[in-house]
Amino acid sequence: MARKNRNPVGKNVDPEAQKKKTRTLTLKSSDGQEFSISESAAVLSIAIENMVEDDCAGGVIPLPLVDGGTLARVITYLNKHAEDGASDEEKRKFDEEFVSGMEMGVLFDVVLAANYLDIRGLLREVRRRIADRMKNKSVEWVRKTFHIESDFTPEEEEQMKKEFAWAWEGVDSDVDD
Amino acid sequence: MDRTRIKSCVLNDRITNLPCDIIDNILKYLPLRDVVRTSILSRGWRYKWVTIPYLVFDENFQESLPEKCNIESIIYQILLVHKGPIIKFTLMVPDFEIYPAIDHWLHFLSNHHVEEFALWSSDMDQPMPYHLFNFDHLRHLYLIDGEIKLPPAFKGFSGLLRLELQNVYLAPWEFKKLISKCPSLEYMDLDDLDGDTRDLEIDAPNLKSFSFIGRFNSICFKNASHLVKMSIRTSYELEIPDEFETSQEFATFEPYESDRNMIEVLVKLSSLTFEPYESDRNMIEVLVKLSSLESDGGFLQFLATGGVPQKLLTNLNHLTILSLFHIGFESIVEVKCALCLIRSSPNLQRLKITSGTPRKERNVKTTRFLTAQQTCQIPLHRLKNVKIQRFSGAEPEMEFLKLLLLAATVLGKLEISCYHDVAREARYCMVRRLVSFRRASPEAEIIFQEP
Repeated sequence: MARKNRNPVGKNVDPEAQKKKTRTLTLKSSDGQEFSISESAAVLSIAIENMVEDDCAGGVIPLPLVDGGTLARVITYLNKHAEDGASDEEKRKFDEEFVSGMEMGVLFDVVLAANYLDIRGLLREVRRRIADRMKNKSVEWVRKTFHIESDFTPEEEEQMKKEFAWAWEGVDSDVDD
Repeated sequence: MDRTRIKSCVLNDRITNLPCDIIDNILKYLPLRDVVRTSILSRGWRYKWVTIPYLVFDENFQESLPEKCNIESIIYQILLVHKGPIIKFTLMVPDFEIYPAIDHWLHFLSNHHVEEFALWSSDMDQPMPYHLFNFDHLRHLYLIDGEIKLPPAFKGFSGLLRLELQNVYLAPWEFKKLISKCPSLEYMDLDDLDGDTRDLEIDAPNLKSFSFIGRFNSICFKNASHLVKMSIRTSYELEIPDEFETSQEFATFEPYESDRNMIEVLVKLSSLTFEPYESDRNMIEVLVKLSSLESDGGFLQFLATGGVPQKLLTNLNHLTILSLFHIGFESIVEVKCALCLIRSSPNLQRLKITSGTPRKERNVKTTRFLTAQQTCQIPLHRLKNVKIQRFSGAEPEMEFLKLLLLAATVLGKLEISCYHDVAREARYCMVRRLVSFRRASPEAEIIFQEP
């Protein structure tokens, strides 16, 4: 992108926001990996923002529920969303590509991390992506994709299908998309 | 990295044990039919769906059903098994006879904390069931067709933030009563109101956004100190009748006597009041607090009642987005009015214009006017983005763009998309002329889209 000097002359720059951009925090994953991140990106996570505000950060913020691989992904997301000059459209495109490339296991790692760290935008994107994998799919397909084991007897299943007969017809054929 | 752990997550059923609110929020993105189908996945999923707080019966839902299905009995069935609050209820199925079942459903829903309610009423002659007026938690109400008759004991919707009415029949006194009993209203979208409500008196102290399409005689804001976005369009029609050419003619229309879209007006905004016929103050002066303004050519004509000054006495200092739809560039009144708004908006950042259907006649006066304006400075030092659609390349349009390019010192993008009827050669000429115009902004990029 050929976008330089975006800060117009004379624009008021909030000194506090400027400080956040230059200040870095260190996040520590459950498996002991450390990542540095600008404070302005980190506080897009409400949970981290609260920790910083309560000053219980003390340099390194431990995140015992997020492993290193997942944290690295989350940080990529946060950095993009804190980027100066990234338009909403760019961010939207980034979000789409970001989640569409994730495998199922990764989606669940990220949804739990986003939930724990309270990153609303990311949480929304991943939930939507998971829902997309279920949309208009047969029960068998969803079970296979999400490794859900049915514990119904065939008779029980038949009975339930009768109850909501209108819900079973016309789903996509069981192909991976 | 711990390979065994990752491998095991791939094969485990991880979705079933997600926290409830995550599952609810995943199901939220699924059509209702898919949601119901989850009940058969496993015992763990049997009753997950019955607490979903969003029930949406719309056209997509109807289309997803097998042919012989009766949507009415399905709605009964779902409401019967549903548990817990229903935050959102939508019933927007075309050609679906909702009476008399809707009475029962609304009675049921009135104890379920509905916050968002949308209904497409098929029968114009039926008033909305009175249970609707007992929804205490309503925040968003969207109605298409049907009639509103408020019960005498209507307490109001104290928490209603957003009201959208489309083609709803509403007597003038009912309209007034409804608005006055919704003190929290922030967004109001009135589209083609039926029922002779031509004089709109709006007393909504928290109103932020007002959008209106249709005919009116007057709009009176009694208390609108928070209004920042206003969109008023007088018709869906693309053509503005010739008779609207001058403001004098316009001002003499008699209310109710003519079939015109807009006639006379009384606009009051917070402390600024305007009495028609008594003062020569321009009506546009009332718009000072807006940050976004949308208008069509018809409403510009209306604003021009009483004449158009070069510039407003008070700047529209907060206005950053101006959208003008179906502007007749051959109409000097509309062009003058548009330019007056632009000139009075020193902080304008985005300008979007849709040209009216091009007509060849009588544009000499407008062209001459616009050419003359090019020597005056227009303070457009914040304007970054201009979008013009249905561009025909007529002289006044070209002169208008010339004017903008000369004045906009930080313009980043001018996007033009052409009216479909313009011939290929004419488009070529247009582009050649456009790129030769002087640009005050060295960064300005002109993007031309083929129709």
